[in-house]
Amino acid sequence: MIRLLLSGLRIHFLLLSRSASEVVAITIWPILYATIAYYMFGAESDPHVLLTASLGATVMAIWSSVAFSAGGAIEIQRRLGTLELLVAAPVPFGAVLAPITIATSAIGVYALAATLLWGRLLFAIPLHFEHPVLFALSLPVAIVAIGMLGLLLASTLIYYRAALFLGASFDYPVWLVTGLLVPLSVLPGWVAPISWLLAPTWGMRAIRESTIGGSPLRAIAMSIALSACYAAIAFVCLRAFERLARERATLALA
Amino acid sequence: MNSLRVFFCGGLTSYRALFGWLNPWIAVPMMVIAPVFQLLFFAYLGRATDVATDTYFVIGNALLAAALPGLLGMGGSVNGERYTKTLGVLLASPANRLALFLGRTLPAIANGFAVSAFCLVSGTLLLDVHIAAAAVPSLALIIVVCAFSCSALGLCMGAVGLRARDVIPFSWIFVPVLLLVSGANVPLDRLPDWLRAIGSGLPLAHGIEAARGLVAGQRLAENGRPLLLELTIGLAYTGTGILLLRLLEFESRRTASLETM
Repeated sequence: MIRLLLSGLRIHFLLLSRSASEVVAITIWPILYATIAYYMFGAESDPHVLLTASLGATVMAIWSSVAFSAGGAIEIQRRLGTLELLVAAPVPFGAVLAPITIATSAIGVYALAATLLWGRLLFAIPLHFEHPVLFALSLPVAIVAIGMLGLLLASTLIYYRAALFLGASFDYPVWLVTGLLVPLSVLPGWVAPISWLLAPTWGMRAIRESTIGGSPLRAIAMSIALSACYAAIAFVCLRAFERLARERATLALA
Repeated sequence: MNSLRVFFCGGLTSYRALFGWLNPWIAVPMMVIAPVFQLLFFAYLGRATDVATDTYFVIGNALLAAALPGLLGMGGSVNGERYTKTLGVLLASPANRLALFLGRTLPAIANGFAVSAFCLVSGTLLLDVHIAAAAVPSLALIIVVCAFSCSALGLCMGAVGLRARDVIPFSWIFVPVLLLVSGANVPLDRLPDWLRAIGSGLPLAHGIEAARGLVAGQRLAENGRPLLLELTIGLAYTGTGILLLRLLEFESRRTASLETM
């Protein structure tokens, strides 16, 4: 199972990295959003604020990539004609799908590199990591947690015909309620409990606090716990929907 | 008469096929959820950064919402023909090219207007923004002009689609570019000169300026200059799009490269 997850992750990461449109999108989008944030916060602001905006734009790009790809992950396999083969494989379908969503999250490393470099070169934002070891831990934990949220999305949108478009429409709602650029303090109070259930909230906190200071361990622990919860729910949903699709012989029907 | 039929019926059929209008499951997420949350996102970011009032963001993002159908609809129409293997057949037909491609802009303008108007109404209701009733007809005119200029830029994208294999990601890039340089969210006086210059050559910046003037209590006549500039930009992109369509169709025939980069 571990070999399946790792080799799946490697294959899909390399596949996405070979796609010029994916790489351009994942690097240019966060740069543009970070630039919007720099000018809105004021380019002469506290460097910590601007660095946080860079990190926020990076996590926004990661979520965007995951939401778009996860919504259509099953649909794409159906179009490629590989869905039946994957379902028929002697491993849980979730273990085949998880590397796809985690890989779409993992290409966010390009976004991180591009955004930090852009901020450094054009806005002279200093790159100083308060806890470099914890940052090296926070990033993969956040990537996996957001990828697992994508798996949950993919598993629950199976019956939605336009899952690809619905996934894409989750960009702004999640960016807003998880406090990636907009502080939760300016949002209505009822938004906070929603944000606690979403991986980007904790992933962003872990990355931010390991970069500009604070105690990221709680956010890292929450990201890991949420990943486990998402995986459990997604596997149950996938098993149920897979069985239903086999019974009704609707697996290949769009 | 045949050109008129191609213009209206062909354009409408192509657009319905593109966004799957028979299926509201596609229309609602793309045209309702995303633009309204985009407006809310920037309005709250504006509150956090103390950049401007909610009215500023409601107007800016409502007009920005007209860009999505225009840019993606027009770029996607050529891409869609390629995806369904009908691009070659379409270009081999003797149909009037102007009617064929301009017909696709009309539904995009109508759609952009509807999305933009919906965003404006939603934004004013959700964020308790007041817009004087007297300003509404003039605002509607500005929305139409902005939807037209965005569709005109989309026409250029569609023309590039005759040579590029996939223009959709390229069209998508224009969305955050417009977010940055149109003045919808970042006040233009905060941008460096070169970004302001780019913004003034793209759709929306002048339309947004005119709309904000109207909401601030000015009359349409006082905002005639930015509105005319917006219209001129739209006409310039339409002309460029038509030229590109002719040139790239000719080139793709000459070099047999309809589907190569």
